[in-house]
Amino acid sequence: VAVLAAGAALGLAGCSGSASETSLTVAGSTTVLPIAESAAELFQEETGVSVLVSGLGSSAGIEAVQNGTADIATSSRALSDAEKDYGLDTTVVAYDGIAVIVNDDNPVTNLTLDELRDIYAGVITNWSEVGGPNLDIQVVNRDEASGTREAFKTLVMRGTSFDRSAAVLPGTGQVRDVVSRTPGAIGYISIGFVSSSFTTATVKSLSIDGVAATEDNVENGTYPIARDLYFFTKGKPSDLAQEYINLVLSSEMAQTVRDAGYIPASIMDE
Amino acid sequence: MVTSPQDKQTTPEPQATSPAPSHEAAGDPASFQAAPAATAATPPTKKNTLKLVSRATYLKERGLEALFLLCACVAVLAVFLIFIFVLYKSFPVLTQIGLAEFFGSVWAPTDGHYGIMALLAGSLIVTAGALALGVPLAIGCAVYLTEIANKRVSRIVSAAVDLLAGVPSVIYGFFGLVMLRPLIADLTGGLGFGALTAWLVLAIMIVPTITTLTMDALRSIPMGIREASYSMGATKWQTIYKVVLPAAKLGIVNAVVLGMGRAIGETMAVLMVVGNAPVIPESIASPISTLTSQIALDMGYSSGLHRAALFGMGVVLFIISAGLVGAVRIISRPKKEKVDTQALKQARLASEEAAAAEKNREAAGVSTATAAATAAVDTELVSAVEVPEGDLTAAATAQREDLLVGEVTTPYEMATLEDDLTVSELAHARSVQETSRERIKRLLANGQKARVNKRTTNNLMLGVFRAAGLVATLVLVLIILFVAINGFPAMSIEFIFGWPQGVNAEGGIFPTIVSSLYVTALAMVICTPIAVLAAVYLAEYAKQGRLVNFIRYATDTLSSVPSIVMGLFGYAMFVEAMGFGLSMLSAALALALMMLPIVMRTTEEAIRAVPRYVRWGAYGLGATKWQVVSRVVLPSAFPRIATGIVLAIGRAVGETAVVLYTMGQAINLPITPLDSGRPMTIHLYLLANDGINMQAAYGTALLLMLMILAFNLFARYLSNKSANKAQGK
Repeated sequence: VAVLAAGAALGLAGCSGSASETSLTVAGSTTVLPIAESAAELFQEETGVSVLVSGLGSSAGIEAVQNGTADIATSSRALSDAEKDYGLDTTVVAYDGIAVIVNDDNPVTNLTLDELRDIYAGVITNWSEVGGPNLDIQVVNRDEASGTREAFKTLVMRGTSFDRSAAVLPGTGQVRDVVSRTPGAIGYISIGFVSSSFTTATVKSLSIDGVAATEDNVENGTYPIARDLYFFTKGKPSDLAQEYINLVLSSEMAQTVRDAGYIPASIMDE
Repeated sequence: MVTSPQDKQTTPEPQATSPAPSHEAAGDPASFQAAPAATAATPPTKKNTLKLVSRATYLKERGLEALFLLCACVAVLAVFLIFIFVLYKSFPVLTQIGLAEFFGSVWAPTDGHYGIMALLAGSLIVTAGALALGVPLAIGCAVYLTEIANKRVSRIVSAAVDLLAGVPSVIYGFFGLVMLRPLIADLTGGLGFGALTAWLVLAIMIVPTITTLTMDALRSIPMGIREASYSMGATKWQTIYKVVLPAAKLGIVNAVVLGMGRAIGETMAVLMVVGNAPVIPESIASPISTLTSQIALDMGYSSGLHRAALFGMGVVLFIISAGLVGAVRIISRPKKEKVDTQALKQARLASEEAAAAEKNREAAGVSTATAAATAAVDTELVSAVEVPEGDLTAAATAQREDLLVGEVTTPYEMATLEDDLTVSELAHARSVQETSRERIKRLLANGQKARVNKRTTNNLMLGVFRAAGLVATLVLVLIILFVAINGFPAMSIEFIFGWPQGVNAEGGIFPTIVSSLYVTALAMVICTPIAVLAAVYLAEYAKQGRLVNFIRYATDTLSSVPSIVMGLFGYAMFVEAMGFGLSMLSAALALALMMLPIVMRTTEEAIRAVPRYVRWGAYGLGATKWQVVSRVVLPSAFPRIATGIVLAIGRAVGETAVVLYTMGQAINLPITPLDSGRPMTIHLYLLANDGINMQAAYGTALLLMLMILAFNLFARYLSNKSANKAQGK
């Protein structure tokens, strides 16, 4: 899918042109988009090389790197079996925990992974079935382009299909906003977005299998719904791409990564 | 063919402006000098029209005509290309998915199920509800504006309706998402995503379309019919309900069908409020999905069969909208009864004579019919020509209905009212023998009663119409206030001229403004020449016949192509097949196709509005057709053409679905046409979806709204100015 053929002109120039005139094209996951964009700004300030960043979903990004229209693919999921044949080089740039959120007024505080799966499969439809009030569960799902949905599907659904009558919303903030206003709603977003400086609306994250959705628990590996965020390049990254990846992993970027709701990979390595 | 001696006698290149006497010979045989030459030259050749021009001029004229025809055919070509390309891209639906599966009910692309039935049902549910809410409101509003409101109020409300039509669909969606959804959620206890919210949003969106077209239909009903009704003692409500609305029935049905097309094809606003669950909904408040919204949602990441299925949905949408346009054409095609046509012809001739007489009078009053005499008399003449013709069609319509219903009445239903009265009277007379005195008393009493009754109904119904007008205006005010109040705090120089920064696009939106204007300007440059020349062909050159009908049908179809289908086509054709990539050029080409019918239609109307005598004047001076068109007709039609172009620009700036997958979404300052970028509409859509930095979303919405209001007001200013000028003010 040459969705990113946009960058084609620049991207191709990047492959063939001289270093001083090149630019980088970074495409893929909307989850990683904020990190990639901030790093792009910083990169341009420091090196003068412009970086074009777009977020159209992990799959589109991987496709774009595979067919050469992007230099770096950002992804919130590991490569699928088919994609493993592309010969892509993998870098883990950050870790992300997915928090399950409900309305502040909802008395439920904990779900097991199985209960969560049944809710999203449409088997459990009332909060009373999981120890809550007699209230219909309003399931909020993400769109299929979303890396968060992909991760949720792998980590929680494990082969069970989503209930197709659930609302599908195309953005983290929307899920958060809708859940904060609807008593019976349930949704999932990255842990970093549970509390946001941009809005006053609040939501409550549930603990899963008794483990609270906190960054510490993601870091120590006990929280079950967590994933790695990746950069992929076709073969070994070019010098320029490597420079950019190093910047993303640097301590300079750590705070930005935290602002975006994730846990920097560099810190966990230490 | 042309012979050389004559060429020498008449000047080789006749100039409309040069007052050479030989030219007058062409128009006026009584002219001196050159007249003998002309008459003498007549016998050898039969093609009188060709003798006065040189071969070069003749070729030039024919060449230009061919060029105009070519431009007119662009619309036809575009419609074919769109259909064929989208169909071609959806071919795997036939070969690999199979039609049975494609029209199945399970839409789960990741599991290999590509059934669109639930989506199709969603589209129909959403459209039906929107029509149920929107049609009464729109018709009420149109009746209020044409029949009830005084001039000043009417002007304000119709301005509001026009502006509502100009509001971009992404802003409607944003409004629905942020304002209506929470309200619906509170009311229904659900999430607030679903058919109900979509109905409200879509109803608001189709009101302007239906209102404007219904107003046209109502205005074409001659005053005489209404006067006849009033003279029978009917109230305003009775006149509206029993006379005006039935007479305008066909026009109203057209309006509703076109509104339906708009509702089915709407993408962004629906996408933002339906909740996108591809199932047959349990209730009006539970999430659903439609064909258009699913295409927009999935297009970005789909591949293989999934993508083919999306193009297949595009084909289905195309067929539905083309079918609706076809239905409108069939409905509004005059049913030609022989007697009617004869009568019509005679009447039309008479009216044309009258109009011509009027023109002569006018022309004499102003000056001789030279090319200079243009705008000053335009409108008066136009109205002189238009009104009688409108009368006739309306009368014909009414007559036809009478025939259909089998009523013998000629001055419409009035006679029926009368009949009713007489019948009841007779019944009474039969049943009770009464003195004339008693009878008069009873009738008076009856009349009194009826009048009270009549008055209450009248007041009540007029109140309903007023309310409809009020609601339309209030909705506009509400949307403007919503955007303005929320967006104003975000406004700053830094916001307008700054770049987006940080993880959530804080800072400014400058590159998106530039991208929006860039792509619109490019689209305008591509579209305008083609559209104007095509309109010139249709209005000045074409003989009314099959070809012109076909071109019109194609143009109407093109204008009804849902914007997301245009986006799909733009992606398949310009981005992929022609290799322009996601770029300003790809998006501009797709937008140009979208603008083409709008500019064509307004230009054609503008050209037709130029009175015929102006052309005769120019021809009389020996001007060639192209000289007449380029120096006389187009300049005097210019203000109206400009109005159309400005309106089309407003549409293009606010367009989202067309550019969503043709321009790319990366924030970038475009320099060359092959650069990609992110226009304001998409920026707003993405911000609203993220739902995190809502400040920037409101700010973007406000700027977008201001730009579009500015374009619309500018268009109104242009058309008012030309109208005033025409009235000699």
